[in-house]
Amino acid sequence: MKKLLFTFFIHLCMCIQVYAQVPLHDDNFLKQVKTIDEFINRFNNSKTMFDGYKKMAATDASIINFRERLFGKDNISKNEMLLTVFNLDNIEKIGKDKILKFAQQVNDDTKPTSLSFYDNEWYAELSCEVLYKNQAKKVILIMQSVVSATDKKASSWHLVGCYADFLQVEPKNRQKLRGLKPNENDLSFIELITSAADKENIATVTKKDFQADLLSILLYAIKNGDIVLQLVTNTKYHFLQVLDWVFVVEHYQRNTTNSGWLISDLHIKTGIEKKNYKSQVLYLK
Amino acid sequence: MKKILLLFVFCCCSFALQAQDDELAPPTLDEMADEALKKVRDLGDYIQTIAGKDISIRDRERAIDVACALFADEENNKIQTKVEIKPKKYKNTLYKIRAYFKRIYLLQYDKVEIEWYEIGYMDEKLKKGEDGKYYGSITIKQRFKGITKDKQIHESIVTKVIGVVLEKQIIITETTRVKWIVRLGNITVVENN
Repeated sequence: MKKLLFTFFIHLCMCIQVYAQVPLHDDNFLKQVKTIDEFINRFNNSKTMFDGYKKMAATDASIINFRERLFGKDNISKNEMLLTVFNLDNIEKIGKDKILKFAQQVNDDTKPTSLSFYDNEWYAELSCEVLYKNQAKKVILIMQSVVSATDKKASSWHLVGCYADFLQVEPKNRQKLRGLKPNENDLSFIELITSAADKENIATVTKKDFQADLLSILLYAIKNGDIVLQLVTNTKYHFLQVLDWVFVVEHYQRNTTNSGWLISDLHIKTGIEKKNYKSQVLYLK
Repeated sequence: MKKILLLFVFCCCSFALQAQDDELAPPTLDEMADEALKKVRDLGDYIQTIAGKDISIRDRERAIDVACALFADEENNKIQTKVEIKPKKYKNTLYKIRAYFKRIYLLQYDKVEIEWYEIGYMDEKLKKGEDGKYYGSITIKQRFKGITKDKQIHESIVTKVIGVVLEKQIIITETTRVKWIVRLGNITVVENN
C-alpha cells in the first residue's frame, strides 16, 4: 500500500514537472535512423514508417506531418528516400553510378525489392571485448536472426560465426613440414607426441586444407572459463538478401541529419561472390 | 486518500489489455505504446528522485526499488553506457540495473532535472520471441541537468534505447483473466557530444 502511494506521489509530482517543461526540439534526432526497424521501413519506403514516432513531451502541431518535417516536403521519391539511408560521407567512396544502379534495381516498379526483419540472409557483426586468461582481447562475433522452426511468427538471434587472432591454430612456423613420417604407423605414432609438444605449430599434424572452427574453440574456451565475454562495443549489419548486392549498415552517432543506422558500403556480389563474402568477411562455413 | 489510490489503480489497469487466456490476441503497437511510454517516463521520474539530494534518503532508496520493479528481470537486465572520451573514441560500461541506480544515487548533485525531447521512436512492429513474449524498443533523447549546491550545472544529452517486453500475466480473482503487461529490458545509454 505504502509502495503504491509512494509511486503515485512521485509520478504525480514528476508529471506536473515534465509536462510543464518546454519540449526540446532536435531535428537531427528526428531525422536520425534510430533503429534497424526504421532503417528497413525507410529502405522499403513503407507507408507505416512514421507509426513509430511518439510524442514524449507536450509539443506543437507541427510535428504531425512527419514526412514533411523529416524530408522537407510532403512528396519524396523512392530514390530520394533510399538516399536517406546512405552515409552521405561515403557516397564518393561507394561510387554514385553504383548507388544509382542499386536504386534502379531496388525501386524497379515491375520487381520491387523490400527487406524484412525475418529475411534469412542478413547478419550482425559484433565487435566484442573479452578477457582471455585475464588479458583484454578483441573478438568478432557473427549473429543471425532465425525464424523459429515451430512458430513461424517467432524469431531469435543466434551465434553463427566468430573470429579472433588469438584463437587461430595456424602453425606459426610456416616452413615446418606438415604431417608425420610415413613409417609412423609402425612406431605407434610416437612422432605425434613430439609434434604435440610444439604447441605453436600443433596444426602441422593436420592436412594442408584443415580449417579450424573458431566458433567451437571460442565456445569451449568460454565453457572452460578461459574466456569471459565482457562487452559488445560495436555492431554493424551485413545485408545479403538483395539479388547480386551486399551492403553494410553501421551506426553513426553524430550531430547531423544524416546519422544513425546508415549504409556505409555497397558491393556488387553475384552467387559465388556472396559465398566467398560469407566465408571471408563473416567467417561462416 | 483511498479514493486517490483507487483512481491510480484504475488508471494503471486501463492500459492493460484483457481477454480470455486462449483467445489473447497478440498486442499491437497502438495498444501497448501508451503503457510502454508511461513506463519509460516513470523510469525518468524515478531517476530524478534517486539522484535528488533534496529528497529524503528513505524516498530515494524506495525509488531504487520501484525503478528496479519496472524491469522484466532485475538480475539479468543490464544498462550499457557509452561515452565519447576522445573524438570517435568511446568508453563502454555495463551495469546491473540496481548498481546503475546506486551510481546515480551517489552522484554529487543537489538536484537533478531530466528534460525530454519532443519525439521518441518505438519499433513499429513488436517481435515475438521463442518464449511467447513480445519484444520491442523505444529510442528517446533526454537532457540531464545536475545542479550542485553552489549552483554549478553539469549538463549532458543522452540517447537511450530502452528494451520493452510484453508478457502475459494471469490474474486469478473470481474469474481467471489474462492480460499483457509491459516491462522494461536491457537499456543502452549513449552520451551525445
